[in-house]
Amino acid sequence: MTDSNLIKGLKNDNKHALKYVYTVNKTAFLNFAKKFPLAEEDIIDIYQDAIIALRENAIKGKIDNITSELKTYLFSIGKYMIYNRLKKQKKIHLVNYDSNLTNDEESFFFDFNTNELSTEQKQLQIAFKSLGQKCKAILTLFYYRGFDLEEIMKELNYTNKDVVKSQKSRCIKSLKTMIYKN
Amino acid sequence: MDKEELIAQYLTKKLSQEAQKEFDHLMVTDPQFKKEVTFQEDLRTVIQKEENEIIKSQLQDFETEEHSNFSFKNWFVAASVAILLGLSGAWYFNNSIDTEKLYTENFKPYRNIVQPIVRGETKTDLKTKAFTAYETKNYTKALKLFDQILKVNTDETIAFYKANVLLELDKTNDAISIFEKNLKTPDSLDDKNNWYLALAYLKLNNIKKTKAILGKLKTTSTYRNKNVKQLLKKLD
Repeated sequence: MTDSNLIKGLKNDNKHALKYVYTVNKTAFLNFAKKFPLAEEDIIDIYQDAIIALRENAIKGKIDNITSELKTYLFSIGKYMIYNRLKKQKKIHLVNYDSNLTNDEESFFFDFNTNELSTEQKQLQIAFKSLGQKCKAILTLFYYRGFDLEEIMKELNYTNKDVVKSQKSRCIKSLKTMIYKN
Repeated sequence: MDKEELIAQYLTKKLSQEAQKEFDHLMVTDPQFKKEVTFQEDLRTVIQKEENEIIKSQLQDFETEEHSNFSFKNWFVAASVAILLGLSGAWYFNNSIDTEKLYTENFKPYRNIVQPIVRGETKTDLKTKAFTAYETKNYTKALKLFDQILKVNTDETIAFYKANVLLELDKTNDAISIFEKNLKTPDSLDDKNNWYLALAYLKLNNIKKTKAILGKLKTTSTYRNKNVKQLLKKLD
């Protein structure tokens, strides 16, 4: 599969594409990461997070016009995450690793949010988890995949846009009722 | 522009310069608006986290699958690479239509509209268990559970989901027999059965069958109309 097909697959939430990217790059990544003082299970954990970040960026359309190979891109995410992990474990002092990153990478990395959720966000998370499947699907397409109402209508087989719109409002309303009543 | 639209465009980074001005102005002057923006940004963060957790558990599943074949791991990787290279080469030379690619672009298991799953709730009935496995993409488990349901009750809808699982598990021929059986009796899932049947044939590289089913679907239903037309065009 070519990189652009894989990116398309990741964007469409295709499991085969995900599995392919995961499997095909794993051994090389593990070999690359061996030189760092990390346990293998940590490395696999990092590799998985790197794949997740890659998928997220594909969905956001950030790598549509990627100039490097997908593998290279994946590895630079992974490398960044390794440094971060080591930094947390205080195993390295970060002096000059930033100079290895290009501007593109930086703009990407700063956007990748690994922060813990705030109190409000945690409340919202609990509320979201308790929503029905329909609501979750609509909200996920809208807020995560960036679909507009018409695209959601097609994806979820609604009969018209207004139905999607009012369904979405109902979902938002029930979220708000849940978090504001507490 | 109404405020809702303004926020939607802000979230998708589609604000024009002028709209951006309006947005900035409202953020300063309208506390209610600001609160709404914060709410929606938070919601996006939460959904992102939720999605990433689902993917993480999927990747962990891949890992477990792989470990269960640990001694064959290297063989497996080498063999898959060889097969992939061989196959893609063969397709490239023998067939100008890359059916695998088209299948990958179009196939996505049909969403669960049968059994709403509420995370954190612990219902233990078979149907909930089956669809929880389905939604979390634990297809091997889902297959077992769907089979258990079908033993008691021949439900076409459940069979339809089972066939989706079979496609995920690369048991394409089994999936085809279910879709074809379902289509013998008319019901509201017919268009979906046809769509997935077409994709199953596509997966088997049977372009003729795929086209025939899609052609029928195009004239009899609006389901996935855009995809149906696009796919037909690409197969011509």
